[in-house]
Amino acid sequence: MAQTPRRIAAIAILAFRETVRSRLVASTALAVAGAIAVVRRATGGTDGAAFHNFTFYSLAAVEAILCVAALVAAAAAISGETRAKTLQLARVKPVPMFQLLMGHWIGLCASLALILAAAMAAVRLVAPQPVPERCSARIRPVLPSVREVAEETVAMAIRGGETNQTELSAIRRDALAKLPFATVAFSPGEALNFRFTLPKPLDASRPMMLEVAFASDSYSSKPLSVVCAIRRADASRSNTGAEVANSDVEVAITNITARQLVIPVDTARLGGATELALTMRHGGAEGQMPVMLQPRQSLAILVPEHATSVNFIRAFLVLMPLLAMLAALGLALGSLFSLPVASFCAVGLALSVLSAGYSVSDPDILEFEDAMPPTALQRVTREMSVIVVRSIDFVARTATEPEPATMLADGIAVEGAEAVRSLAWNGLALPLTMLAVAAFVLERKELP
Amino acid sequence: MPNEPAILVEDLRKTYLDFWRRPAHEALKGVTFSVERGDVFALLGPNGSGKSTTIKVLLGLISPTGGKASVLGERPGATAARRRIGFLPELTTLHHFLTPRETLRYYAGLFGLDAAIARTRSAQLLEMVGLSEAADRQIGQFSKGMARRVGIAQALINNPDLVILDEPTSGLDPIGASAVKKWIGQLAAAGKTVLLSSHILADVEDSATRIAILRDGVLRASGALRDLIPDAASPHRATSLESFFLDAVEVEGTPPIAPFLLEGA
Repeated sequence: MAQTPRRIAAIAILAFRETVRSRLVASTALAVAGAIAVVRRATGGTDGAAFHNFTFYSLAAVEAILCVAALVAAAAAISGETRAKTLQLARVKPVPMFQLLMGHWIGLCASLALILAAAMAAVRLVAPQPVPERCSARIRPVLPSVREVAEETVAMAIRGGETNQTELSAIRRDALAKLPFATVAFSPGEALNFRFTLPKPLDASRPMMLEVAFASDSYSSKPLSVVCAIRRADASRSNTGAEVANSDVEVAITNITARQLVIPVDTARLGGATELALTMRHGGAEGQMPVMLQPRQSLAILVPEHATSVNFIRAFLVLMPLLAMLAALGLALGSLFSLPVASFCAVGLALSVLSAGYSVSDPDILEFEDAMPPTALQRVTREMSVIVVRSIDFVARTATEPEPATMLADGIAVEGAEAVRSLAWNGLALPLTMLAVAAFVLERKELP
Repeated sequence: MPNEPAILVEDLRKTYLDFWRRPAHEALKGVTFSVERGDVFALLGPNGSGKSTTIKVLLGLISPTGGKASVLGERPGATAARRRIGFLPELTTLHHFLTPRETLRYYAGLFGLDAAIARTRSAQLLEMVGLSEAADRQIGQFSKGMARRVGIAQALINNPDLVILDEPTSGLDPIGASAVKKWIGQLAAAGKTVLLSSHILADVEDSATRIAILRDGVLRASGALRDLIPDAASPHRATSLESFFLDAVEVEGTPPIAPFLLEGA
């Protein structure tokens, strides 16, 4: 049993050394350093936007460069071994191909981790001042799950007399696709109520923010206003035990045309709360346009969380497994194909992921409106293509969310659970599956 | 199974396919031979005769189109067999950025050898191949012959029962080639089975106990050297082996030199 770790360690050390001394890694490191320097120069200034812009663009550039480098370096590593016939020599040793690929993967990941850690440290160190001291947890309102609402919609359709299973499936699918983006509207005199559950009691000494974006700006020529009242919803007691007579904290939003509003909320009367209730009232007069909101997308409470430096470390823990997954994908492609074919496949996969993401982000794209009823073949083809697009998007979205660059730039806390999920899915489940498939093929591949 | 041959090849066939999976080249056309344990067996034949293909089938690097093969009682490529095989490929394929010492430790690692054993064996093998002084220089800076010596050392790192050497003296100077022949003799004396392929008859004349001659994927002759060449013990054995080899591969005379080379300037 002790032989397996020894074998993997021997291959990993070799792969690490080979990667570190390769021109590709040197040029990647240079490209990363160059990108950070260029973005830093372009995002001068001392306001909060400078930190946001620099962090977002520099990390996005680092992420993009390293994703490409991970894929190419991995594919080149294994196809290079095949070309140089060192793989042939390794295969006559008692090393299962899975262990060989695993060793290569670990070595590659170690070198990528070094570059990523150095890049993230550089971004943190050269970020324009002031760097926010703490990041915030983004807490979304408690809403019934999309699946529950979709099932309710289907139940309503059944109650309405719909029995055709194909139609019911279409209704369910449509609801699942559109509900996350569903808009609610409230007119003058009307109010919307939301509830928020906080992960821990609210610290009254730290600022809390209300983050909201309305979808009404383009529909009204007159300024619209909204009055928000936030109150404790867990108990009517403060953290000192005293009765809180009126815990409502009111925030008036008089101009909702801004794309995204982040409004400080006085937490003095909300300290210790674990449940908050938000009431949004239309602040305009009778006859004014309704205010529209996508509650699942653009409403949250921001509560101060851990230090920004800790957030960088957590973002690293989310990003690194993504690179590890891409390295495994590169190794798998390099095992199956020559480097040019592997690169071609990688580009094809990247384009598929991008187009699937774009298609799924707009529910109308996957809808087919015909003047004539489609033929059976057209229907099957469409059904298949929708399934393929959604599957690609599901796998890609699970792998690429959350987006640490955006979260770090926005000062949003990367949750530990997200790092764990990224590690489990991107860092273990996907890579091990890819390596197992590649090893299965490589074991049977002829190496003349 | 101690009485089982170290290598058993029966009616072995291999046809290489082209891109469209059509037969492109028939490299082995029903080869049969066996190598007993403790033998030094030489596969002889001109370039393209199927020697390397036979070795690759035995190592599990390619699969045969037909026939059977077993190595140390296992199917070719089985992990249990690979543990007991040392292999020197025709071309020295090593990582150029590693030193000989690192290379040997790497291959020791692939066999899962303990670090202390790997260290000791590496040192002993480096001394054996005469590279102790150059043990910490990168292989990329080595001559072909020096790299070949590292290749030979890596083939022996696991103390194998069966050593397969594909063109072992390729790239070596006469001193190196002579040393290789001496090591082959020592391996045989230690009870190891050696399978070597070569088209250089001098490689086998001293060390091989049994030979097989291949030509165009067909076995032309096989047996103990002393049976095939009765005067193998005579001072003229090299000439005898060469004539036997040329007869076996049916080379009828040497083609004439291109006429323009004989014309005056």
